[in-house]
Amino acid sequence: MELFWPLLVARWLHLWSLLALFGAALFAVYAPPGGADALDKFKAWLAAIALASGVGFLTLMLVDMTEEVDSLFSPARWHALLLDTGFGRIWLLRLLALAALLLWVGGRRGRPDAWHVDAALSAALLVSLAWVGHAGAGQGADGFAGMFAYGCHVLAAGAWLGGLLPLSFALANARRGGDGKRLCAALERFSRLGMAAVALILASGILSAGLNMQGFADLGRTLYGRALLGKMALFAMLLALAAANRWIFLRQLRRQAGLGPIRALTKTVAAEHAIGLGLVALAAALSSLAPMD
Amino acid sequence: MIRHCGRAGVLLALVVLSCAGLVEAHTHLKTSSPAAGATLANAPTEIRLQFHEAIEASVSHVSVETKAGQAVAAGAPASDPSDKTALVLRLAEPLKPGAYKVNWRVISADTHKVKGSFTFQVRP
Repeated sequence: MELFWPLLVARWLHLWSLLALFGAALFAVYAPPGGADALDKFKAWLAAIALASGVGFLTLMLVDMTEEVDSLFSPARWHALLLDTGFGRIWLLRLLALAALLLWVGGRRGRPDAWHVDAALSAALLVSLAWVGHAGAGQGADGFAGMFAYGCHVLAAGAWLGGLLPLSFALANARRGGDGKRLCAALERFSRLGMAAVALILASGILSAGLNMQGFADLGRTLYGRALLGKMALFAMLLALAAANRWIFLRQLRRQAGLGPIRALTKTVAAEHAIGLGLVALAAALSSLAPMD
Repeated sequence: MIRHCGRAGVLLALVVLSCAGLVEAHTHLKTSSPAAGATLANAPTEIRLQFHEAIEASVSHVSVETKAGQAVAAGAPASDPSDKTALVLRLAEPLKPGAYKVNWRVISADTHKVKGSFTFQVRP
C-alpha cells in the first residue's frame, strides 16, 4: 500500500497551517492597532488544521509503515510507533503542544497582547519538524547545520508567507474605509521584515541544498533536484511580486490615498499567497523525496 | 499579468509534483549478511542488514521464506546496540540446504519507508 500522495497532502497542510500561524502571530508586530484582534478566530482555525493534519499524517504513516489498515486498531502498533521510535516520541510531543495551542488560541478572548505566546509555540512546532525529517537524520556537525538551516528556513518563511493572509485582511479593512496611513505603515514594516526573511530563506536554503545534494548536476538529474528547481522558480516569482508591491504599489499608495493602489496590492498579495501555497507544496514534496534519487 | 503569474506558479508546482512519482527510498541497503545472491557452505543463524542511515527497528519488518514461500521461524528484527544503521534478525534454527528469500521493509530515522528483497542459497 503506497500512500505517498496522501502523506504529501497531510505534510502540506501541516506545514502551511503552522507557517500561517507563526506569520499571523508576528503580524501583531506590524499590524495597524486593532488589526491583530480579528486574527484570533483565524489562528484558532489554523491551529485546528495543524492538529488535524498532524493526526492525519501519523495515521497515514502507521498504515504506510505496516502496510496494513488493521494496524490502526492495534494498540501495540500505535505504541511501537509513538513510544518506541525517536520520531514517534517527537510527533507525540508535537501533537500535545498543538492541542495546547488550539486550547490557548481558541479559548482566550480579548488578549491581543498574547501574540508572543502564539509566536513562540508555533515557532517551536515549526522548528521541531527538523527532528522528524532529512535534517534530523544527519549526524554530527552536518546534522546540527542541517537542523539549524531548517529552523532558520521555516521561521523566515513563516514570517513572510504567513503574514500574507493577515495582510489581506488589513487591505480588505482599508478598502472598506480604514485608515490608509496605518495601512501604509503596516505595509512598510511588513516589507522590511520580508526583505530580512528573504535573505535568511536564501542563506538557509543554500546551506540545506548543499548538505542534501552532491552538486549542481543533481538539480536536473534527481527528482529532489527538480522539485528544488521548481521551488526556486516559484521563489523568484514571489520576489518579483514582492518587489512590485514595495517599489511600485506602495509608492503609489503613499502618493495618492485612493482605492487604486489598494486594489492592486490586494491582487498582488493574493497572487503571492497562491504562489506561496505552491511553494509550500514543493517544500512538503522535498521532505518526502530522497535527495539522492 | 498578476493573475497569469499566479496561475503559472500553481501550474509549475503541479508539473514538478507530477514528476515526483511514488518515490519512497531515503536510506539504502548498503550490505547484507548473507550477501544477495550468495551461496553459503555454512547455514547462517542470523540475517544482518546494513543501511546508510539509522533504522527504527520497532516498526521495521524482516522475514525469510523458502523457495516454496514457506516462512522461516525467526524472532523480531532488532537494532545492533553498537550500530543503529544495522538490523539483525535471529533465526530460530540454522537453515537447511536450499534457496531462501529475505523480504525487508524498514523505516529510517527520518520517517521514510524503504523495502526490498534478495535471495541466497545454502549448499547441501
